[in-house]
Amino acid sequence: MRKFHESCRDFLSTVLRPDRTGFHYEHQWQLHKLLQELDQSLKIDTLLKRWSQLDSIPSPLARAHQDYYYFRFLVELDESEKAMKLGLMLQRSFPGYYDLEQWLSVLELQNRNFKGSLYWVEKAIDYHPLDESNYFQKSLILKRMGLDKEARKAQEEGLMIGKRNLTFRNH
Amino acid sequence: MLKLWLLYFIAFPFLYHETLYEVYGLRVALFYGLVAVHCLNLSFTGLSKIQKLKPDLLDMALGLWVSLRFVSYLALHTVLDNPPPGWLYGLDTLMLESAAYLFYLCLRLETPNSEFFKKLGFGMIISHLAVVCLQWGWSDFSWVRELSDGRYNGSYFHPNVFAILTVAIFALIWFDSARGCKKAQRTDYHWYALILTLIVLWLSASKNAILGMGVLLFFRSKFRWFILIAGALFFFLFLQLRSNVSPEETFRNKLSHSVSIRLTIFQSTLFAISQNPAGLGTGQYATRIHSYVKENLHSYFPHPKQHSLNKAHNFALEWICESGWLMIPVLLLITWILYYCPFNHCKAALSITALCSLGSVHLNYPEGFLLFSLLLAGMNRDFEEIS
Repeated sequence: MRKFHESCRDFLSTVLRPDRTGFHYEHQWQLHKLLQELDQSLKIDTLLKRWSQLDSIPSPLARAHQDYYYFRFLVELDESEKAMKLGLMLQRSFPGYYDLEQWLSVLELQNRNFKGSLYWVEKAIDYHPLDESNYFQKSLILKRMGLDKEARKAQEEGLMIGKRNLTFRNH
Repeated sequence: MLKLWLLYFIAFPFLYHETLYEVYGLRVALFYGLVAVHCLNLSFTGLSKIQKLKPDLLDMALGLWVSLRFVSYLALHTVLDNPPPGWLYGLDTLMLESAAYLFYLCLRLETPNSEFFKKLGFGMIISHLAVVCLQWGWSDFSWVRELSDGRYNGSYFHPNVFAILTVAIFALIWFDSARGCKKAQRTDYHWYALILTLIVLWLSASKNAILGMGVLLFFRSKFRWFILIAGALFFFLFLQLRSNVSPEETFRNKLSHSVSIRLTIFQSTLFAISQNPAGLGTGQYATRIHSYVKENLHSYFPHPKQHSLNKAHNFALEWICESGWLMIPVLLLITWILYYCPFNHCKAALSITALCSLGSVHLNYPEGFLLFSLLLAGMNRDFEEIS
């Protein structure tokens, strides 16, 4: 439980910063209070209820960005159903937005839907072909599916791309 | 009210705090507040002013631009494929643009004179210098932003925004008495402004702004060949000395990479424009461009979590991409009207801001956009020369 609490707090801290400088920042203020609540209570239901209440308040973040964070938050909380609904909605409107497809793949893997997970990681590779983490994710899925040879191939591909990404700025 | 706006723009670089999520958050929040106060003030005291205002060509063309942005917001949520899940998507962009148009109209009613712009230029260049001093000497001060990879950013979103705004302010000062006359006398005040601007350009390491400055001085100066040679020397010296400000980001500061990255972004944007005649929707460039990004860009920015394409680095392309092909004639109309406006300090500043914005992002961020709206309100509207 402690670990869950810390990971939630760390995640929220990266997304939010406490501030109250005007009506435009009401949303951030509400999120800041949410962070404080997290310190006092570990009830996920309360947390999710507060998030949904915030939907009606104008945000300083672009709306897609805010929902993208919320989606990731739901995946981390293992709230599969809600996360999938929001993730699919976002993906339909904003394909390739950050690492949306990779998170959908993670979600499907959590649900043990390997085919679905593979589908989304392939999509992620289409949109971001040089992000090595997609290949490692693919390797993990293939291994879970018992396809060791393909898994090793994906891992090698990821390692090769990762090596290139480490040094390309020096050329 | 003009005094309030003057104070607001002079305090521009200081309207920042490290706890803000968006760098420009406080500036935008205050802007909304001031526009609301200005509109209320006009509704109580300035009704006669409103009645006297006769909209000219530029007002109508800008009105057309705002209307098109509104139509494209509506289209995004009703007609276009795969609409976003709610009406709040794109509303932030639309709100800012509508408020900027209201701000422009309010200033048109107040008719700011050249004295206003002189004070504005002087005040802003001093505040820009002050923020540089703070960044240099007191970097952990929470009201000042930390440097961006060794480049001074003046607490703006990006060093390029800082540098280009400074060049625009310099244009306001440099041409304040000139009024387009090449023989106008410069005073010490103009030369101090020139030196301060060159310092800011050096510290911000913005190639785009240096080119803009060169163009500005070259086309409106008696000593153009001297400026061309001195400018070229300054530019190459700058490239040699400032290209290694941060080892991690060296590749982006190289001229060849910088140009190549921009060209790839333009290609991706043009591809998106060709595929979407009705546009991607107001404020949706950052969220919807990823399906159209060219392979080359991935080789520069492989990790979407670290670098994501958010701006087209060309204001015209971004607006056309968001609002569709109809935006092309509207932008051409505005350019045509602005081209025929008689030359004054605002036209000089506006031209240089727009020119630099063909390869940078500052007009698509609130700071640059608000200053642009202010300069539009200060254009010389003696349209007899057009006829």
